Formats: sequence, C-alpha cells, structure tokens
Amino acid sequence: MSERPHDDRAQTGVDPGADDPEPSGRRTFLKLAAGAAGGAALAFAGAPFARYASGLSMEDILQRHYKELTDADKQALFARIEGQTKARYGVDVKLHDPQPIPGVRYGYALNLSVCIGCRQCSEACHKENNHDRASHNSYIRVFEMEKGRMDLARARADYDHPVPMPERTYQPVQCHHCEHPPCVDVCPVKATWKEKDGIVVVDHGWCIGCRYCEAACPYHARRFNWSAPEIPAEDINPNMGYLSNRIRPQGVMEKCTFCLHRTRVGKLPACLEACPAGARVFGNLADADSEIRWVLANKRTYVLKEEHGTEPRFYYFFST
Amino acid sequence: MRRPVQTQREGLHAAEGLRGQGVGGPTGAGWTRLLLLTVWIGGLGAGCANSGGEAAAPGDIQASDAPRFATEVELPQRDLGFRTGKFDRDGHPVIVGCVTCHRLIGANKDNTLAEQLSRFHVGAKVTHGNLTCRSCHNPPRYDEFKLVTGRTVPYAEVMELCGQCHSRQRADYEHGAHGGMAGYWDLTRGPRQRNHCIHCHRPHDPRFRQVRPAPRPRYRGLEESTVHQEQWHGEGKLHAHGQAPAHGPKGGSHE
Repeated sequence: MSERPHDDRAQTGVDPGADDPEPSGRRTFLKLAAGAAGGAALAFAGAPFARYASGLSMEDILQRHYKELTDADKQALFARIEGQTKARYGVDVKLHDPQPIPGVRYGYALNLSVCIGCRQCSEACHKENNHDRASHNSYIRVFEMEKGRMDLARARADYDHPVPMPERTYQPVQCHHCEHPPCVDVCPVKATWKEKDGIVVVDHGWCIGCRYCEAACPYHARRFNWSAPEIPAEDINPNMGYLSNRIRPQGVMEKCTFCLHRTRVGKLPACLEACPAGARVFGNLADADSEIRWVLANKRTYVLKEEHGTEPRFYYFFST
Repeated sequence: MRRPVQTQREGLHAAEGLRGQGVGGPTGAGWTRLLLLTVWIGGLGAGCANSGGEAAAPGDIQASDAPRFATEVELPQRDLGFRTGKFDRDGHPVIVGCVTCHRLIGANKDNTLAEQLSRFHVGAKVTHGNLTCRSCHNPPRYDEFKLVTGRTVPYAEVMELCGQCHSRQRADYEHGAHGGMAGYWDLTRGPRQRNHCIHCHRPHDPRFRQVRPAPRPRYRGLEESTVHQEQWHGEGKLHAHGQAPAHGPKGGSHE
C-alpha cells in the first residue's frame, strides 16, 4: 500500500511531508494572493495619511509654539508658509504678524433691529479670510428665526430665499472672543489663547485638530478644516496675518479673529464694512469715547448664553 | 418690520444682493463730490459723546492727543436734480438740475401731492409717510430745503432735514451706530468714510425692497435635521422657480 502523506497528516496532525518534493500549489497561491490583497488594502487605507504627510516638511513638524518663536524664527516660518502657499495655490502672498495695540480691548456690537439676513457679512468674511470656495465657508453664520422668539435652537442658517422675510428675525453669530473662553480652557496643547487686546487666536501650526475646543464653544464658533481650502488663485486675499487669515492647512481649527490683520492696524473688520444695513459697530472698549462704548451705555444690549459665564465681547442691541 | 437696504448708487439693484457699496468709500466716479463734514460730525459728536452718560471705567485709556484723520461723507449725487437715465461720454449719469426748468417755470401752487402733477414729474411716487412736496421742497428755491423752523438748508446739508423727524437715527448716526462705515475704527491711524442718509434711503420712496442673500454655507453639520424639517414645514423651503412663499398681512406679493 503506497504512503499517502495526507492520511498521515489527518491522523497525527503532523506533516511528515517535510521533504515532500512537490509543495501544495493551491495553498501557496492562496496565501500569496491573500497577502497581496491585504497589502493593497493596507496601502489603500493609508493613502490619506500619505497625502497628508506629503504636504508636511520636517520644519512643519518641528515647528514650535508661536509664543516661543523669536523674530528670526517667525521670519523663517512666514517665508516657508509663503513658499508653500505659492506652490500649492500659485499666488504670492505676504504674511504679517501685527501685534496688539496697547490700551485696546476690542468690542463688537450688532443691531438686530436692522439686520436683514443678507449674509453680506458672511460673504465678506469668506473672501477676506480665504475660505474654501466649494463649501462657501465663513466664520459667520446668519440665523433666521421666527420674530419675537429669539430662539436660536430652532433657527436655521441655510435659508435660501429673499430677505428679509416678514415675521422673521436674523442674527449673525461668530466668535465672541469671550472674556472667559471655554475653548482656551480645554485645549490640550494650548494652541489657542486670549491676547492682550481681547482677541482669542489659534496657532494653526501648533493645533493638533482634536476639536475639543469646537465641542467646548457654546456658540459653535470654532470649526475644523476637514480638508485644505480650495481657492482659485485670483480670489485669494494676499494680505495675510499668521494668526488670522493665512490659508489654514488641513486638520486644524479656525475661527473669527476680528480680522486682526486689519484691526490691529486700525482698520474696520471686513464684515462691518460689508453690512449694507449698517448694523455693526466695532471699537475699543477701553476708550470711553468710542462708538462701541456709546452703544453699550445707551442701547438695550444683551449677549448670548449669558448663563454660561463666558462674558462675550460680542453684543447684540436694538435700535430703540 | 425689517427693511432691506436700498442703495442709491448706480447699477446696484436689490435683486443682486448688496455688496456693501452702500457703505463703501468714494466710488471713484467723477460725478460724486467729496464733502468733508468733519467739523459737523466731529463737533456734534464731541458734544454728544460725553452727554451719553458713559462714565469712565477703571482700565479706560486716556483720550489720545494724536491728530485724527477725517471722517468723510460724500453726497451720492453731485448736483441736485433728477437723473434722465442717459449717460454722458464718460459714463456719468446726466442729471437735469431743478433750476434748469424752474428758472422759467414756476411751481403750481395748487399741487400739493405727487399724484396731482399733470404736466411734469408725472408718475413721481412719494410714499414718505404723509409728507407733501412742500414739506421739504422750497419753491422757488429748488436748491434748498426748508426745515420746520423756517430756516433753509442747501442740498449739501440735507442730512439736517432728515434728522428733524428722524432724530433718533440721527443721534445714532453721529455715534456710529447707524448707517455703517468703511475705513478705520482708529481715527488716529486712518480716515473713515460714512454714508449720507440718501445713500441708503430714497427720500421720495424710502421703503426698502427684499434682496437675495449671499450664498448659504454648505459645510458639515449644517445639513437640515429632522427637527428643522418639522419646525419649518412648508415655510422655509424653496417653492418652484425659487419664489418665496407669499406672506405678509394681506398675503400679497413682495415688491
């Protein structure tokens, strides 16, 4: 009776065919095929990481926190970002780093009696701050709600009809630059902080994109860059601030910065200039003669979610 | 009720939405005259700033002695008159000054309302409350307007006329809380441009029209939830052809 190797294997569980001259073709083929398929699946799953990493240089990874940068560090950093922007978007830009003006604490007020919900503020922010064009992103969301209710929980920001609709109220919301910002408290890496002039800023090069601040903000003013913004070269605003409207990379948080690249040189924010109803008032809360102080002293004013104790520096008021 | 902003500037119409040209600085068109009302605004503003009653708070800065840039308010139209709808070879609108005709033609004293005009200005629409023509106009001097005190103001100072009845808006305007602005919040660093009343408010027919808003955002988290579906059932959704649903006290159309 001839020896049949597979019978022995079945009885003892040991393969006596170690010196079998003919390896099992089917089994090996299946192993190799499965291995190749698994490798391909792994490569496919890792492709987003490869794409993400290809945009990072070693300097990006080793970049230090903004507060630790010397002037020379900043110059090198800004030059690198300008080069990356040129390579990616095809436009020459200039990164600035305006410092807070001494003796200034910014405040912003918005007149709900005249806001018509036209979203020109949101549009101006979209253009000024180099937002992604496809999603029409902006730091400002304008809410529409039933008149008299002021019920933001039932408001909608994606209305698409002529405005103002009768029996509707409109309320734009953006970062309030709170005096006690929850987003600053929860950031695990201190990538966001409140500056001397009151602006809450984000170091986009230090942010790790954990989105904890987005969860902590009571006003949902902070948003995550799920992808790098896509903007045509001719639409890019080349006048950039490192802490404000530089084109944010994928994977970091962003929010309204009171247009600090404009306001820290004394200009009005873009949203204020765009408002056709003249609803917005901006200025220095530490200046008793400023327009914002006059509004706070003479108009019915309130803030959102006062019970949270955030003390926003963005106020809403009424004409009468 | 909300009133959409109407702009007087050429070429801008409500249906396009408003780009903020109404708040912008000089258009660059040669037919606008730059009018410096720094003294007017500055003087009144300074007088009113401390009368608002805001006490100096701890932490307030001292008022700066640095020289301040000007706040400019320009008239929307260089000359007083009505636009013919035609344009000259530079593209500027051709305006017929009031005195062109009224130097020869006197005013018909029997006409008090715009509807009564039968020979000229036919079709003029005046929907400004209960005002009549002579509430503001001052025949035979059509380049001036009369105030309730009997004093007249030239066209360049017509904001004072508006401010008589709309004194609350005028006070808000002087304090920067009405009418918007462009330029610098910090006047020690740069100038500022303000609107004239009639940039946004048409004197004869001031009622605002609806505008089309800028495009809505389309990012994650803003999709309509079921809560929104229930809440806005049948109201906020776009109807066919993008028309807004009929609302309003008489269910009538929007103008």
